[in-house]
Amino acid sequence: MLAFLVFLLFFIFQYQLVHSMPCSNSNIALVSSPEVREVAVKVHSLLSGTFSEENVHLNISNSQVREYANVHGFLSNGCHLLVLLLEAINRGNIEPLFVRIRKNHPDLPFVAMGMSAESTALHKLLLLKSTDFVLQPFDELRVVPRVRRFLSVVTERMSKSLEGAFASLVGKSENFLSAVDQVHIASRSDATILLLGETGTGKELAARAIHYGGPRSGRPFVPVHCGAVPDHLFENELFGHVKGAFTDASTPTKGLIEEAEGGTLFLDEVDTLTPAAQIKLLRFLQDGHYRPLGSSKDHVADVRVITASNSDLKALVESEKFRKDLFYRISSLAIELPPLRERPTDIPVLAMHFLRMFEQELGSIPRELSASAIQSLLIHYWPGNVRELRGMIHKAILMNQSGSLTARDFQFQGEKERQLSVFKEAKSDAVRRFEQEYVINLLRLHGGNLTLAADRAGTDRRVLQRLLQKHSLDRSEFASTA
Amino acid sequence: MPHTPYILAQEILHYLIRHPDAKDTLEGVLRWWISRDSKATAESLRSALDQLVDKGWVRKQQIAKEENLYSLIKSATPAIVSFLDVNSS
Repeated sequence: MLAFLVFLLFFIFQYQLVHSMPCSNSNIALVSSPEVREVAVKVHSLLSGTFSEENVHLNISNSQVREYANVHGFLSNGCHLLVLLLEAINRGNIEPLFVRIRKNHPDLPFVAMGMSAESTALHKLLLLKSTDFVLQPFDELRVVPRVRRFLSVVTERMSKSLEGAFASLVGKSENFLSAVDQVHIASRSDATILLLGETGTGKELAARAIHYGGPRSGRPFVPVHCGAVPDHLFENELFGHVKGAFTDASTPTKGLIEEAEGGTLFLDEVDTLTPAAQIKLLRFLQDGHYRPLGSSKDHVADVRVITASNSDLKALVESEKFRKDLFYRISSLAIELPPLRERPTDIPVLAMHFLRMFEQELGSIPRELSASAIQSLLIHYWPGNVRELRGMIHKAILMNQSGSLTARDFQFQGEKERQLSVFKEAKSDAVRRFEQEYVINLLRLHGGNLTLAADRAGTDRRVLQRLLQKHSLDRSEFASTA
Repeated sequence: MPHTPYILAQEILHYLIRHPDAKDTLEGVLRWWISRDSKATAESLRSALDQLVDKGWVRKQQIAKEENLYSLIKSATPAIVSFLDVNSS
């Protein structure tokens, strides 16, 4: 029953995310001239009621909005749509205002709302890309559909942008696409995410896709490779320090959490954190509080945290190398990126993708992958996953200037040893199965009588006894079969 | 035809003017701040960013051994807007 309820809640959560998507990630800047302040407040209320108050930002200019300079300062914080409320839309503001907005923000849709308007000005306004106008009365039926239409365009553009970046996460295998779907869903929420996968599976790529596809797009994305930071420096890197915190601290220094304010902090190799750093990270995740080194005061930061690991975190928790409470805090939404060997059908696709990419970058002649080259790529284990494949393709292009890459261009270090190891394993497995089957048939034939069976096999009774134990066989099971 | 560092610099500035709080490393700038059509390489992009850092328009902060975080120097916004205005006419 509990499992069903959990499933139902999760389904409802996903449903709401999908159906609220067109508006939930878009910021609307409503900029108004001061002389129409009262109207602006009403329009703000109208838009907030439909698109959520936190997404509609009312800005009343100090002076009449006639030029781009009056507006520019409000176009921050990832504005996706500009709504301009003016006393008049006329030829006086087309060039210094609307045209300048379009020049400096080529992709920003905007809607001009005017108490009055000149028809020639409206015509020129509409000639600019992604613009619209609304004249009074500013009621829901006239305003909301126009704004919603532009937001749909913004959402579609964001989706395409997300898809564009996902073009770097190339693949069509089921397990890979399932992970990509989860990344899409994660990008629409603000939850802490844990990305799991071997090295080279695209964890940092996925983290960025989540950031740039979500509500913090346009804010900082700060990656931290925890394993590369010396233990004794990590807390300073993350939390910063105040002046005098230690001997060389002559000035205060911002930590990476502060650098990521409003955006996303990506902690790769989170399993390498020291116990002390784990405690402080946990506290930060719980309430956004942290303390720079040497400071007596807590700071607060609004930062979304995405963590990643290529280790078995559960095992680290069990061996008490990773805090259980921190693990549960970061793993409520965990996404696993499959290793390349578990998506073999993607190997040729990825290889061709990198081939074309490097051809463009290096300006080299187009090349093809021969069947033998593809075969070589398919049997390799890929411990370095996609990153390793990319490196191999790059090396092959540099070393082979001809039009075709063959198996000879992909000689993997240790590949022969690995193939030999595979043979040994297969042989051992075959011998074990043969042994087991032989003993079973022997016992069946002699009704479980070890003496007779051993005599028949031309071996010692004790040898047969050892084989029984090795294969977990009980001779009494064969007593009635003779 | 891949975009030159000069054109890439303009693309970066356009992105930063629209997203003045944005910060990211070279990898993020390459994948998310500039258009896919630009066919930029890491080298050309680094060159573009270095030009902007030299002009005092973009901040470059080392966050790891070979990793820098790039962001807008907000006091340079008027100069950047003028530059983009002139170059888009």
